[in-house]
This record gives sequence, structure tokens and C-alpha cells, in this order.
Amino acid sequence: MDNGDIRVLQEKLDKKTKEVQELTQELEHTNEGLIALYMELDDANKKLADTNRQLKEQEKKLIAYLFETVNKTRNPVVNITRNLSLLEEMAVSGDIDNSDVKLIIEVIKNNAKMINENIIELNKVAIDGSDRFLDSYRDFLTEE
Amino acid sequence: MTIDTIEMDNSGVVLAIADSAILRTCVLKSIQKIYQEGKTGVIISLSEPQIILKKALEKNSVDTSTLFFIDGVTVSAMGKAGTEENCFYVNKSSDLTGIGIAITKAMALIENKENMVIILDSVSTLLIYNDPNLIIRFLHMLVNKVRLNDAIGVLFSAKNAIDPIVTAQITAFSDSVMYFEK
Repeated sequence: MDNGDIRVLQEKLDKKTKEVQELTQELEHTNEGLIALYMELDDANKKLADTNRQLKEQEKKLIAYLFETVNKTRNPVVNITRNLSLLEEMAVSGDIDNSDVKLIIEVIKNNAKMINENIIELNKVAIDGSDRFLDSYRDFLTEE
Repeated sequence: MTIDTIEMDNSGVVLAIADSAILRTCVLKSIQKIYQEGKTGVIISLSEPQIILKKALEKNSVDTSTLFFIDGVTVSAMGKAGTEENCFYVNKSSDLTGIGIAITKAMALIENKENMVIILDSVSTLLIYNDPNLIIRFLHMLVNKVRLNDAIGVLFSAKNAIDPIVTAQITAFSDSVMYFEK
């Protein structure tokens, strides 16, 4: 091998060394980008987990609210049925006192009023949670 | 358990859950039982006016003069309290403070407190008017009064009318749960 060959080889080596250096630098940049991406993903994941937890809490509250509202609407129906049975019992036995009948009817009316109030309240909550209601429906659902 | 096999221990608190169609009969039978056993009682009636309940009991040969009633229905239905003796009228069933005061007053009138039964008719009606958390606090107060006097407490409720979480809380401070089916 003469000096000329050595020079050519040296140039090739230098070129390759430079290429390796450039690739290493590029790789470092890519790694930095990847780390940043991972951090971003980790952040997004934490936010998602947090949102998911909040959604579950909201869902729990919504279910509890729905159950409470259903009961507040259903339990007066139970009371109305009970008082109607009482009126039926009185009618069948012939043991009717007008003041008792009036009292029982007032109790029934009170329970019916509670049902109406609770349904209006439920509609208000539903409407507050949505902006897709037309004004005419809004009034229809919430007016007493 | 059927209506005819209602049994009460000598003390403690029972959550009595009945099919809504037989809830009233269960309440009447339990009051009859109190009377037959020579016990005295405070009946918290939030679903039916006291005068109607009293007449039904008297029809079943129960001497109601030995019982005290707290009526949370009549005033809100008729706009004024009744004139019955042995009865404390509360303006409305949502007035838990008023009911609490009436219970204290009624209990003060009972001499033999070990033979006392407090019947609540019903938890499910309380739920119509009040926030469940307030009801839990109110029932805690009621149960404490029962225990402090070695009395018996029966908390009636219509079946499937209480939130399962609230039922679990009430069950936790009751000594037993009775179920009545049609």
C-alpha cells in the first residue's frame, strides 16, 4: 500500500467518522424528542386518568341523584295507593265519614303535588345540563 | 316473615321493610301487638293522618289512649292541626326538628320507658321530603333515644323505596332487618 492509498483510506475514514458523528447527533436529537413525547404522553395519560376519575365521581353522583329523584316521585305514588285503598276499604265497609274522606283526599292531593314538584325539579336539572332544549320546551318542562 | 308472625325483641332497633301493598297492615298489626303485650308506644305517622289510623286501631279493639301519636300529615293536608288528645301535630313531614321535639315530648309522658315502642311510619315517606343525609342524621338521633331508654324501635319502610346505600347505613345502626312479603 503506497501513500496515495493510505490518504484515500484516511479520507474515507474521516468521512465515515463524520457521518457517524452526524448520525449520533441526529440520534441524540431524536432521543430528546422521544423523551419529550413520552413526557407529553405521560402528562396526557395522567390528565385522562384524572378526567376518568372525575367522570366516575360525577356518574356516582348522577346515579345517586336519579335514585333519590325516582324515590321522591315513586314514594308519593305508594302513599297515594295506600290512601286510595283506605278510601276503597271505607266505601266497601260502608263506614264513611265525610270529614275523614276529605282529609284522605287532601293527603292524596298533597302527595300528587309532591310528584309534580319533583318532576319539575328533575326537568330543571336536565335542562341545566343541556343547551339543546328549545325555549318553548324549556318553559313546558319547568312551568308549574 | 308474614304479617301475622310479627315478633319484637324486648329492646333494640328493627328496620322493617314491607311490600308497599301490605305496609299499612304491618304497621297496624305491630301497634296491635304492642297493645296486646301491654307495652306503650309512640307512633310517628307520616303517611296517614292520626285520626284515620286511630279509628282503624279502635276497630281492632286497641285502646289508643295508651298510645302517643306524632302526626306529620294532617296540618299540611288541612291547613290546621287536629284536636286529638295524645297527639302531637307537626306542620309537615319535612320538619325533622319538629318531629324530633315531638318525640322527646311524647317520650317524656311515658312513665315505663322500658316497655316503650317507637314506631316510624315510614322511612320511605321521610325520603319524599328530605335529603337522605339529613334522614340518616335524624334516624341516628331516634335510634339513640331508643337505646338510651332500653326501648324498642321499629322503622317501617316500603320495599325498594330506599337507596341501597342509605339502606346499608340504616341497617348498620339497626339490630335486625325484617322483611314482609304479600
